[in-house]
Amino acid sequence: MTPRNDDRCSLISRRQFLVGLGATVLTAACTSKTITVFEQTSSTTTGLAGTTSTTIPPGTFAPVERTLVVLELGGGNDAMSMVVPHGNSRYYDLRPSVRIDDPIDLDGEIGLHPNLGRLAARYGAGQVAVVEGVGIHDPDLSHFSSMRRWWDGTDRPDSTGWLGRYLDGSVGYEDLLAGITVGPGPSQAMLGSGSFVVNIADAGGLTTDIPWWIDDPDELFAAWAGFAPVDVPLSELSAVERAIRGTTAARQTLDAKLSPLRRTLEAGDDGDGDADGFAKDLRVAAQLVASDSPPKVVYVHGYGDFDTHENQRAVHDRMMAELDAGIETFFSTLEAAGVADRAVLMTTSEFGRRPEDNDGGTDHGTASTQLVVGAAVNGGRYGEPPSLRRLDEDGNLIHTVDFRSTFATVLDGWLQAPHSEILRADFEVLPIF
Amino acid sequence: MVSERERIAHVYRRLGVGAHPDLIDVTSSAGEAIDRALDLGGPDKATQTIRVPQTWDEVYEVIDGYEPVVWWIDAMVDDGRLVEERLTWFWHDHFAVSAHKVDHPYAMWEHVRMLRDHATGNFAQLLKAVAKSPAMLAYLDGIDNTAWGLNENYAREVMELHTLGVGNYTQADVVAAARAFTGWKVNETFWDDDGEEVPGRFQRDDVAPWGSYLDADDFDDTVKELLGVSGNLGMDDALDVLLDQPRTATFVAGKLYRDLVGAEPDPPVLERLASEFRSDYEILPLVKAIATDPSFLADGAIRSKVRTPVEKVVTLLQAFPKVRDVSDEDFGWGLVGLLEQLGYLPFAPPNPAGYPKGNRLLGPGQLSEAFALLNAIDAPAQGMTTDDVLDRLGLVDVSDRTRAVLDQTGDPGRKIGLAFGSPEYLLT
Repeated sequence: MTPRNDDRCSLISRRQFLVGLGATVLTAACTSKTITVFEQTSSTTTGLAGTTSTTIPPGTFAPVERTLVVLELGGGNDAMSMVVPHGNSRYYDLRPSVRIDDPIDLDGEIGLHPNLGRLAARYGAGQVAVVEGVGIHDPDLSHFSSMRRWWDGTDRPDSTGWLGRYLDGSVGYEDLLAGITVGPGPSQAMLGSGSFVVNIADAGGLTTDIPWWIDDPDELFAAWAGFAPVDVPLSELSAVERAIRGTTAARQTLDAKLSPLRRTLEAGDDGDGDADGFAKDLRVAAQLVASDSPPKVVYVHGYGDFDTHENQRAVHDRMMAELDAGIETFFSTLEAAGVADRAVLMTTSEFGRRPEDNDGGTDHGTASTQLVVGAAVNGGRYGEPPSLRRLDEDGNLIHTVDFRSTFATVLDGWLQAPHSEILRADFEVLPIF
Repeated sequence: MVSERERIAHVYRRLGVGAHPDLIDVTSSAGEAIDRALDLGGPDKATQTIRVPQTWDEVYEVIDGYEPVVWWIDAMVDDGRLVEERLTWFWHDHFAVSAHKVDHPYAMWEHVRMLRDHATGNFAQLLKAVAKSPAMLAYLDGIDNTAWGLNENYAREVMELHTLGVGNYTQADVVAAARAFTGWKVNETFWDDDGEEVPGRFQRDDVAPWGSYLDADDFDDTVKELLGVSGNLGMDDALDVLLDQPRTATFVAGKLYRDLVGAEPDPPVLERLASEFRSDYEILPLVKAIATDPSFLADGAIRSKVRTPVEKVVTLLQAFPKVRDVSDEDFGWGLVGLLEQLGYLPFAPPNPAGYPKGNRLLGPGQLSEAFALLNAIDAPAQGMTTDDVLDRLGLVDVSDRTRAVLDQTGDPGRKIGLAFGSPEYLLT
């Protein structure tokens, strides 16, 4: 076997003896668990005033009572198995070992993976936009650098993520719970230079694993709130005291948002059995969206299982079933609460996979397909399916839609924030909204 | 009114990583604290536990596990060579490379060891050592930068983040520097799923494992023009051009000033610091010049920064030393997990510009999760008073409100938890 230098992530994560600093961190890189916060480059400022001159000031974008939910399919989703070009005979030549023989036909040309039945029903109802041919130019096939570009929404690595810049320019530090990530740590995509991102792992919200000798966390936090007593006006509190008060309030608010879900889960009456994966996290996301003062952006991530170099059908089929269950759980929860029009969900993935399979799996590719789902969406097909015959020098698809076009589309069309300042350039806005 | 003892603690917090209470106790003035913090007379920590691997197996043994993180944190907790610890961390942030991308832990270890070697030395030598550091060559794609295919990643970052600062160069300069940096490789080796060694892309038998070297065949052997200087520049030549730019000394001195003082330098102060620094790029004299500037001990400098998770845990371990074996696995993995959760894992800054700072550390998630760092210490002794707890944590001048909040409980553990979350401890 030769080293696959375009594939260090999975090479490393399978190297189990490399535990320790390596395994924790490197496996994390593959499953997008990494990345936290960050200070703008020019702001070597370390003082309390962490905002920089390049930070988009809050209020630049008018607030909207809408939520964008981003679902990251980490590891490189094989879009050709999600949205199958079954009308193209070349597909069958390229995919002898991993082809999907029984897709759910949408229009005679493409079809959805057979495990995406409920998504297909939503497509039929006009709630799903399928954007084909989405990619980055000059792709290097690396998980790391590709993810960075998707997170940053810029060509070269940036100190902030595209959704973080949206949060900077909309709510800034004012709304503590405007940006929430669900998964293992905050995503780089959500890191601004003048706003917060709150990360939760599950319906437990902002839990803190304090040592046994401190005893009850609720009592500790109640006493901690005494550093910023409620009878002292905000204007008389220092920046750090305001942060204590804000955190105390945010913990309570978040707890109130999530407690109905927690009670349901504890009663074992969640209707979905022991939902895991996307369904588990998207139910948390739905709960947040359905609450009062919902967050502006929820970022669900932490699933790196899409890196299907081998045994693709078993793994990817399962991921498609999870995806279907997740999206359905999300929207049916919102529909039951009568707030289905509040949110739009968009999938991302750092790249698609190579058109020609490798006898059981697929290697790193380029262009991919994104889904944008929601009541506000004009359902249908967007973008341009990449040619399966005219491939690049690595045998990969040549993308037809810049990945930032979908970002521009949800920014302009859904969050109503002009995209050019956030993405630092102009991109085509697709008529999805 | 800031007490002298608070100023002493301030000196140790800023010139070291924490505020060792035993040091505060034996120091009688802020001036003495500065001398002690800048004293490099103690035993060299770098040679104590790091050994150069002789075989590929040992490459992994050296770094197998949580030990690097624990070793580094322990070095910060130690009360010797404080400024070396401060600067090693400062350079790790400044010249950020991350194990997220550098998929060979030994290279990360060596990178930080190199930073430690140069931490208090000479910035010009440090810059040149970083440029050839295998970890940096891998992290910013230097190994993919050849005369036949330029990769501008390092060339841009070295100017934007390491020397000049953004806006002080053009895209043409980036290309010229990238060309000067072409040809550098790292002697990589990988293993397959069965543990068999497979040759890396740039394997060379005459180069040390995971060492770097210049492959002349891939070097762009032509004339470049960088920032007005023309010639067949190689790596060191190009870095010399950057070092000759007055802006570099201003950029680096200003950043170090902000880190140590926690405020923007007055222009004449920065001008003086930068011009002295530029004369020879010696780092320790620059630190000394900053630490002896009146602004360093001014009231406005005290607690003007947000304490980082690493500073929090180091101070905590200085206050309440954890009784453990060197190879305490639970402690080691626990510490790694806590710091990773907070985005402050050593060897893993989130991106090329380093770790988050300032307000970003005061969000609800950061403040809530930080309490988990208390798991790094053992249950406190019974009978500790509010004064004991504040004293151990190096919190000298605290508000009446803080004292009252701590006094509300008689339980030492609860007192420590609250002191850890106090406005005074959240700042440094």
